[in-house]
Amino acid sequence: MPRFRVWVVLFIAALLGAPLTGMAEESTDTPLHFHGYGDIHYNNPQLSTMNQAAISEADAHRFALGLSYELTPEMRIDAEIDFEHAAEEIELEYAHLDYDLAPTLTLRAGSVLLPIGPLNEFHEPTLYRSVERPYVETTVMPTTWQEIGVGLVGRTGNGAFAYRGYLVTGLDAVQLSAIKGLEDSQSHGSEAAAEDLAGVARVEYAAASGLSFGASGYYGGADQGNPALHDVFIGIANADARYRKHDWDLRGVFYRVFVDGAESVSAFTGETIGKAMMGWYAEAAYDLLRRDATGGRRSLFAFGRYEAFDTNLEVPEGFEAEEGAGRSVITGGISYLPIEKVAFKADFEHWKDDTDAELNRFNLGVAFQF
Amino acid sequence: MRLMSGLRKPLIALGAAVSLTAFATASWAETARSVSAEPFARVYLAIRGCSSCAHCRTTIRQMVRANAKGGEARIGVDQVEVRYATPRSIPLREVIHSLAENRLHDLSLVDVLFTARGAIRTARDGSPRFFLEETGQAFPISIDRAVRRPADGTPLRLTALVEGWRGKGDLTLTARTIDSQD
Repeated sequence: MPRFRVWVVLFIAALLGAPLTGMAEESTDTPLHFHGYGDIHYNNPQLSTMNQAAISEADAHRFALGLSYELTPEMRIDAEIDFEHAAEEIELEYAHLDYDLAPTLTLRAGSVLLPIGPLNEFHEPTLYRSVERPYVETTVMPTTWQEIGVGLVGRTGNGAFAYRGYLVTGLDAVQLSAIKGLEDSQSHGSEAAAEDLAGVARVEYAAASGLSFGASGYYGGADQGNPALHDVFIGIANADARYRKHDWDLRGVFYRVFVDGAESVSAFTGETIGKAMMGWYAEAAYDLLRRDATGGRRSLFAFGRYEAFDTNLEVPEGFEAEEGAGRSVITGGISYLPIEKVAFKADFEHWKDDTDAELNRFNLGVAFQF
Repeated sequence: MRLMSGLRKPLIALGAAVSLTAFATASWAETARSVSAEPFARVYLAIRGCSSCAHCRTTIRQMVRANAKGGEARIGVDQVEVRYATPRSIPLREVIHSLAENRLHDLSLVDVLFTARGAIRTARDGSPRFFLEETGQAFPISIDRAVRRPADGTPLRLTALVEGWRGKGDLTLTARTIDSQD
């Protein structure tokens, strides 16, 4: 609670203090920039065979406040605090120092968002169409994932080719789960165990045609010196593509996770930890208001997405795959953006798992960023 | 009174933090203004879409810098400014295209303003052109009757809307303000 108060006081102070200066004559002349985002959800699951206890709920899911302070034109501090579930959970989303070594090469150090997949770093809720994030990117890829680390952020080829690479603190294998996959295994940069480190890198190419590609890799130790686990290593491979032009927004994302030492983790935790996990989704969205064509500001996206993920795709010898670890979700809905930074969303999810249990869910949401 | 007593420390902290933030922002802004006063040229790129978080800002900064050939990129609220402190040829089309090609999410470029020191001269074909100081680089320019055009060759600072960047033809300028540099 004291920590919470300190952050609240600092943020309110900063928000109040900046306008006193008149924010300079031009907004690019101020060293202090604020940003933030939020999303508020209503989820209405229909009672089903998958989760008999599910009830309707409304949740102030995320409210994040961030700031960027330019120490010099080449050196900046960036930070973001996420108040989740009406501030029941407070998380340092990231806090890092950026130091430009060259016009298109930046050294980054601190609590950093891992560059894996398209969503982890660019996770503002107006950037994805559904009320909830794709479930592949909460289980197989545990967004939002941050670790303490250092690395490089760069761009070349007239800006079309981007790369990031960091050395970071590793995952904690003890927190792996049969059903939730990697979801709770990241340190969030909070007194992170640093016995094991990991390397992570991502490359992206964006063509002027509106087509972009990305590929990411992660590999590192995850036993964090726990003698009961012996050596545990986790690897993640990702590939993704997006086409965004002529009012179409098409995305395809794939992740595969390898857990070397899953048998010792399973024996330690008492649940079957997959030695391989996999998740992917394909999504198509079309702007019915045709913002690209008209040059207006409003969009009304109708979208559909199919995703499949399995946190027990392969299991260690002597262990049985957990029932319900293989799941698919079909999501369809609309997202109305009166301006680019505000979205009103409604969608419907149909879940099915490997035991043929099913769940239907209706969601409403409002999302904003500034 | 107990309530007031409980609030005293947070209020003092709030007041101190407000003062420090205001002071720091004002000091930096003053320094920035004095250091960067009257650069040779500026390109203002008005953008819409996601441009606020650290990752978007880094991406935008690097995309612009990759094409700015030494220009200093600064990012504000829904705008990017590229500054050139001293006379040099300005890669205007490349800077504009760095954002116009929409390489980041739903980011879109909506308008471009250009301001620079130079002079307006009449070309052989009778049309006016804006020549950047010391560089010989020139752009076709149209000047509305409401904007007073100085005599050919008069040193001036021009602020103009850049047009033609959505297509593949030449960039043209439409004068907004012309300030004499005499």
